[in-house]
Parts: sequence; structure tokens; C-alpha cells
Amino acid sequence: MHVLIMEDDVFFQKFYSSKLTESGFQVTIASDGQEGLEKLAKVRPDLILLDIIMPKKDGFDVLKAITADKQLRSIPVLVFSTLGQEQDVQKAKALGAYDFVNKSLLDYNVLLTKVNKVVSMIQKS
Amino acid sequence: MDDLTNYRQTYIKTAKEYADLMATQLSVLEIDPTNESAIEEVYRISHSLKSSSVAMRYSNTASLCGIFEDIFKKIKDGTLESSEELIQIVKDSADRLKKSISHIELDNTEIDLSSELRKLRMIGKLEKIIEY
Repeated sequence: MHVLIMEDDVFFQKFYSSKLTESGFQVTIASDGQEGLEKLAKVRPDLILLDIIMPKKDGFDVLKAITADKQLRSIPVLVFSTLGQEQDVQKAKALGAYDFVNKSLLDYNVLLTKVNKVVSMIQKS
Repeated sequence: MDDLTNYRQTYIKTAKEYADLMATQLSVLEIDPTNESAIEEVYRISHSLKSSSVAMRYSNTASLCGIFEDIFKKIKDGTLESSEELIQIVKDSADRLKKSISHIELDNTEIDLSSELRKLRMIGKLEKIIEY
């Protein structure tokens, strides 16, 4: 399974990419929304982990672009959130995000549970 | 929760980079407190450093970055006016932030940032300080 992480913070890029790689996932990283969309034009991940606040294009811009694209809109998106971002999470879900993960908890098991839920959904379909 | 010690070096490296970037943008704002690009950058840096500080359980540092984030969000939204006075207080607090990161690097402890939080709350006209 291929995961595309769109996250500008190097700390979280390293944490989540190393953990997902250890779990057997193929990981691609984009450091901002613009780069993320450029990578989506070339690769088709099975899942996107998307930060909301990023330079160039933010998570909302990316979600709008994904849902507007017939080929991309079927890719599930998990949104990274932090404390105090509840409204942003609701906005992201309204724009098509499948679920969210509180990245500040730094609890990989929570992320893995949600990722595996998406994996099961993909495999069933 | 995951063992945090493995990520401490990554945190310190990125935190120092962010603190330096913030200082650069605040120097721009010292000259022009309304520079939109610099305001956006400080907002984004504050958000990122807050998130990683929360993750690493450095609560004082996270709270300070959180208040920077709140202030610059208000400036972006137009509900708070940026000024030379505000930027100077933020700049002084950002210097203390650097000191806290140095302490974390040295012996994994933070410095007391409560005075900075109080000053920023006042100048930022914030109802409360969120402690992480």
C-alpha cells in the first residue's frame, strides 16, 4: 500500500514516514500542497495523509482539487489535526476528508488503526 | 504513546531551524509590521513548532508558540492590528523561545515562559492562554 504524506513539518514527516515504512507501507512525502498535487499527477497513492496548514497550497485547497478530479476523488484522505483545530477538521470533512488524526498525540497506534480501517475498506471494494 | 527520546534530536534540529526562521521574519516585521508574507510565515512557523512541542510534551514551549499562532491568526483575520509595539514584544518572546530550545537541548528542561505568556495575552487581546 502506498501512502502520500503532505506535511510541511520535517519532524512529523520523519516520524510518520519512518513508522509507516516500518509497518510495510510505501511512503511518498510532499512538503506543501502544491508539491502534493504535482506528485498526485504522477503517482496514484492508496491513501493520503494531509496536513491542513501548509505553505503554497493548504490542506483545504488540496481537498478541493482532489474532490474536483474524477480520478483523484476516490483516494481516501486522512487529515492531520492539532489541538484547537476542531473547526478545521469539520471543514475538511465537509470538503471530503475521510477521517482525521491528531498528530500532536504522536501515537502511531492510533494512526495505524485508522490507516488499517481505510485499507480494509479499499480491499473490500 | 511512542518513546519520545528517539525523536528528541529531530525535534531540537527542526525547532532551532524554525526559531531562526521566525527571527528572520520578525526582523522584517520590525521594519514593516504589516508585511503580509512575514505575518503568514510567522503564523505557519508558530503552528508547526507548537504542534511538535505538544507532541514532545514541552508544554511551556508549546503554549508560547500557541499564543504566537493565535496572535498572528488574529492579525491575518484583521481582528488585531500589527504594530511596532506588538512586534517588539513578540520578538523579545521569540528570543526567550530560543533560550528554551537551548535548555531542552542541554538537559531536556524548559525555562519559565509565564511572563512572556502574560505580556502576549495582553498585547494580543486574548481571552485566555491555552496550556498544553
